[in-house]
Amino acid sequence: MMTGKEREDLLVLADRSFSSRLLVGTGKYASNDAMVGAVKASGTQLVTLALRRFNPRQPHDDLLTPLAEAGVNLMPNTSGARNADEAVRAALIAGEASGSRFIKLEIHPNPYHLMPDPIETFSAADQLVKRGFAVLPYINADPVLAKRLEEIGCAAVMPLGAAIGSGQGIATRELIEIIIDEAKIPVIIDAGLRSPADAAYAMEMGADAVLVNTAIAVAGNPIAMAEAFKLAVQAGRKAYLAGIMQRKRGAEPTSPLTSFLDPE
Amino acid sequence: MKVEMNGEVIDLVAGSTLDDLCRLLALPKKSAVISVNGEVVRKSEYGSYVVPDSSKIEVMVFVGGG
Repeated sequence: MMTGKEREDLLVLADRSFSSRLLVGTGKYASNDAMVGAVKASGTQLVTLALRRFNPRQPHDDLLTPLAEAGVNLMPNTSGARNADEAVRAALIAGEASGSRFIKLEIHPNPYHLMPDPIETFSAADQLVKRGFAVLPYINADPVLAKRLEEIGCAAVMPLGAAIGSGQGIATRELIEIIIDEAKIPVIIDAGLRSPADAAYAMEMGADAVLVNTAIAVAGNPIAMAEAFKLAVQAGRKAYLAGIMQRKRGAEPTSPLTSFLDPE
Repeated sequence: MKVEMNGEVIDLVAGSTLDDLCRLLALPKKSAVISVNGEVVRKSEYGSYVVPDSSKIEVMVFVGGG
């Protein structure tokens, strides 16, 4: 039976509430059908997408119609931007194109490691918050930067578990724990998650949500994997709310050690 | 008239609107976001926005992304 607390357990981002704590990216899928199937199976209510120049020589595969039919909210990203100016311009275009206030701010100038630029990210976040966007910046797992972004009005922070698409899991655990302890805005673990176990672990740590793309998109069966991530996020969140036991050095018996048979 | 669209020069009938451009490109209007000479045009204005001669047009579309 669900308790009242669980029924009210919503992820609040800016002025919107979400019952799903799994955000899903729409890149790298073998087909649009696979992507839409995975989005539906994941139960997500917020998906990311990217903006690119239209190529008249390539047929355009319309993403917006099937995503609208799936009933999900859109969060364009600023991927491709190498500095704050490019990211702000991309966000303004994406906002007009999507009709969404949500923007995933990502600025990674180096195509090898795709690590986010903290200085440009902070500058762009400040400008976009002032323009009325609900800004969700993708950042390295830096507690100081996370706090600064909270102070200027970001809707959430999205520290990386590991490099984008690397499947290395939550390599930044200790720093993410600090961010979660200190944050007054939602913390969404973004990037690096490999399997549902990583997502469950992130939620058990107290993350407010996770964002998954590659791990679902490149799975042998993306639709089944999307559902597996959904269940893992739910399990991890439920465990976190239930209160996870402390680790202990030694054993502690689960059966009474006294009043056993009389020694002969 | 000639305009530049995503870095390529294309021919457009004088007096064309951005709605006309979307039809020419076989691009659903809701998928596209168009900037003309650096300014993003609101979708609600595509039908009435007449493309000036020699404009520099950027057409962006959504693709999958994380």
